[in-house]
Amino acid sequence: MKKTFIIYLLCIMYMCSSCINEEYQEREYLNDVLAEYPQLTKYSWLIIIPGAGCNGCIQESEYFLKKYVSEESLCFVLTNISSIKILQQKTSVKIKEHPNIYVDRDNVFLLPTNNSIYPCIAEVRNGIVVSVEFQSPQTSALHNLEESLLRRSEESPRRN
Amino acid sequence: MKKEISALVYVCLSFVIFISCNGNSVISIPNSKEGKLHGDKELVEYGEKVLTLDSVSAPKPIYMQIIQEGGEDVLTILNTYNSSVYFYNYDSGEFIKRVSFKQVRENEIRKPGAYYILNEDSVYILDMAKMNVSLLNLNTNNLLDIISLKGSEGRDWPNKLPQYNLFTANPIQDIGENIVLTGQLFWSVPSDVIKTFHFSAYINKKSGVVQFYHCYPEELYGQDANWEGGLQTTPYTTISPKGDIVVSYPPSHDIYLYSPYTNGYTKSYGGSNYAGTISSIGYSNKREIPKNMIYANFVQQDMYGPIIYDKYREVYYRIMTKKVADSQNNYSIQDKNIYIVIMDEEFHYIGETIIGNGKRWNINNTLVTKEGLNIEYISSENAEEEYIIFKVFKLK
Repeated sequence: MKKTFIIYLLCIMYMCSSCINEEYQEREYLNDVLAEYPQLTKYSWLIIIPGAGCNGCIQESEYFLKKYVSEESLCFVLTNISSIKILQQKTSVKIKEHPNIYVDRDNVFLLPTNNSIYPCIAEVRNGIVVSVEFQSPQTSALHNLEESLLRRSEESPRRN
Repeated sequence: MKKEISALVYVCLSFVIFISCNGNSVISIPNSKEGKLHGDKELVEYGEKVLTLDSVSAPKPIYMQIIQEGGEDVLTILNTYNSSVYFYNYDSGEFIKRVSFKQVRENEIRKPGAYYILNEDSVYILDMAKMNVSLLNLNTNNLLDIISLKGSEGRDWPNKLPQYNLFTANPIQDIGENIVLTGQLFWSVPSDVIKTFHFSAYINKKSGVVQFYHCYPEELYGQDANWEGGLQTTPYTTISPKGDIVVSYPPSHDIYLYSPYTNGYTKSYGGSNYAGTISSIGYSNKREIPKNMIYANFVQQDMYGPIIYDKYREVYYRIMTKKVADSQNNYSIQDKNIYIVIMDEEFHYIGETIIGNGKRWNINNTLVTKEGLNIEYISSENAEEEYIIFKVFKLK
């Protein structure tokens, strides 16, 4: 009887986790997409900027793009963008001049979850997405990334 | 016996969990005339209009309006980036002027979403951020009025009053003494408000007073059916020659006729020969519903879109987007093929034309001119976004 109950409990936990584990779903989705775009796996972070959604969050990511477009470990993926021309006007960044900006015209990087309205920061290690964070009113993924980049640049001279 | 009871309890619990994940109260709307409709009219592509854009304008603008000035058609285009309206001579494609509607800070229009040019002295501009309508004199840039669409409602106003997602093919309408903005709920319609939630805001041109009319039909949106996400709850409107508001609901093969200032409606068949049964989402936990399930419901089913009355040819065009049969995880609305149902003034089916999918056509920017039906064309040769291109269809 006790065994049956434990098995049943595990079943319920499994069903619940399959209902709510959005983060896992997002990582798996991005890994499936990345498999089709091996040229993007060389970067340490993908910053996926959606064209529509949380306005303030997207504006922050556009500002981040402007500031860190020359950072070689970052790849900026522009998805569901209505106009590259206007984005260039807003950021003063010429998209074609930066090989680390990928324009996703088929919207394959647009996440199939409720978080697709937020800019997404995916950390990539050995070609695999290991974590996914979002820039939203509640979460400051871009700030965290900025700190990681600063730490890296501080550590670099020591290595030399 | 004890074991059997325990087993029964587990089965019941499992059933409850299954239901909570997979839902109930699904509304299904069959197409009684699927495959039985016949017509001899079609839309034939015969030309294009190309307008040159400046360095801060892009194709796929969110809102346009055709107006008549000096006997000529003038196409006006909203630029949300610099809060301006651009005027083009429609026949020649020549740029006429740009009028900015920037205001002083306290009256600034933060997020223009739609406008209605009654004449250049009276232009109504919907501010999506402030949820109000500014009445401007475009020639002098004077602010004449600010009309709130939230009224005196508190923070929960979106549960009581509509939000708006207007575009060229679903525009602000001019009905007698009022301009009418048709909005919607962006989630399922709760049973307890279905008879009291009104989705159209009537703004009296003289007084600026706002009154709300028109309810969702219970047969489509009742029973607490799951229509989350806002795609399936958009009422698309046009005005009939008699002055009624004609509504195309995405899941309905019928069209609904509302008289102005009333909440009742009549309906008439107005479906596609190629549309099948349309069902609400089979998932009862509306708050937790995954976004891909909402898109799947929209993409993997036939859904209706804008309806447009053509006063020059006295017909209606109703857009239907065909389901993507095997979309699996790749849920793209742009993959859906676009069908245009053609109906006469009495909503009799007279033909239907397939034009291709949303990767080539922006159906939100569909409008009627003397030449025919204009639909914005997305050209791969326009990657630099230098032009806005329309293909013009003639009725044959």
